[in-house]
Amino acid sequence: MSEQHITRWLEPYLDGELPGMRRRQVEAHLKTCAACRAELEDLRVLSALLQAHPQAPATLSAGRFVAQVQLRLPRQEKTTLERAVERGRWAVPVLLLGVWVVVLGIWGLSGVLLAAGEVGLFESLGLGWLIPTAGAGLWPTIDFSRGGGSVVAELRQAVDTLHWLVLIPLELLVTIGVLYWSWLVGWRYYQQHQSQTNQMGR
Amino acid sequence: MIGQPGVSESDEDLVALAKTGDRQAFGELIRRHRERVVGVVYRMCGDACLAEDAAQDAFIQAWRKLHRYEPKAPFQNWLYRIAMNRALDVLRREREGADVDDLPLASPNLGPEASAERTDLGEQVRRAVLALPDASRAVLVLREYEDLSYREIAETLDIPVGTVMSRLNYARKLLRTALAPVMEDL
Ligand SMILES: [Zn+2]
Repeated sequence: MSEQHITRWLEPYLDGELPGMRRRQVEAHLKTCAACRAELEDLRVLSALLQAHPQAPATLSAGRFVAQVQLRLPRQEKTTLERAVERGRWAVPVLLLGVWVVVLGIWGLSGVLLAAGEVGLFESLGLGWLIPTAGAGLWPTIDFSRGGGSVVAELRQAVDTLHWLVLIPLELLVTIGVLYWSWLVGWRYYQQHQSQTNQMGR
Repeated sequence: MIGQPGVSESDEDLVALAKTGDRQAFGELIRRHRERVVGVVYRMCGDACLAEDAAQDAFIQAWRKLHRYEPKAPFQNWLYRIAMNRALDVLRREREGADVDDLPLASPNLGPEASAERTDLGEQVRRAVLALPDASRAVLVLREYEDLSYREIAETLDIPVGTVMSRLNYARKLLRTALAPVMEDL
């Protein structure tokens, strides 16, 4: 016997896990080595013994087993997306309403401040620093004192004022409203789809 | 609506249906895999009644977690993983609640037939397998009874292939010692 024993390769050999090269090596060795052949035979006997015993017991019939499990099936866990959608059901409209209130509030406030600035309320109260300066504030300020020249300029200024004070808040309002309603409609559709698939499953 | 899921559909198709809440499709999956799942659990915990319950639990858990299954590995192997964990839970519970004489090694029924059964070959093998450490037994069961490859066992049990080999080797060594008297007669 020139080679070393290949005991450690016997199990992978028996389990069909050896790549071609190694397998041929093992087979060549087995031809010449009675000890390794006996070892392999032992493993085979054990494997056969295990596979014959213990038999898995016959218990419930397939039909009864399936029926029992199906009776106990709960609702499936929701996917992360579904859970997010469900949480978002409240979060999205609330968020939109919040944005709407904040936007209107700021707009209203800035309108009041501007008007107050116009009539010189701040100066009379010693709050001159509160007077919005053009271009410096968060919101574009409207220069009410501008113009005074041509009718066209007057008109342009009126349109400007209208635009800032009315149209933009209105546009925002409409956008938020559209988002809000499309969310509700989407949610409704999602729920109907859900209950349909659940019914199909029954 | 949809028809009765049939034998023609693949496991993956049925899983996709079941993921949408289709209980019929899941029923077909149970029908297909019941025997093997019960077998795995039975060989892990050695008690037919416990195995049936644990196998049912395993399917229910699979249904709950179905959205987490990705069809990279065969559905069956994913089920095996759940079944293994259920079996180990059952064993743990049994051991915690059991007296020393009442370990799962002992046959649950202690009538006159039970003692005769204990001398029988199948019973000896059953006890020898049950006496293995859980980790080695899990590998052995998947290899010898379910014919999984080392790689599949490694994936199912979430252990390296090298560990699969060493645990399998250890299990076989212990079994050859325990079953030596029986094996000589064969
Ligand atoms: Zn040799």
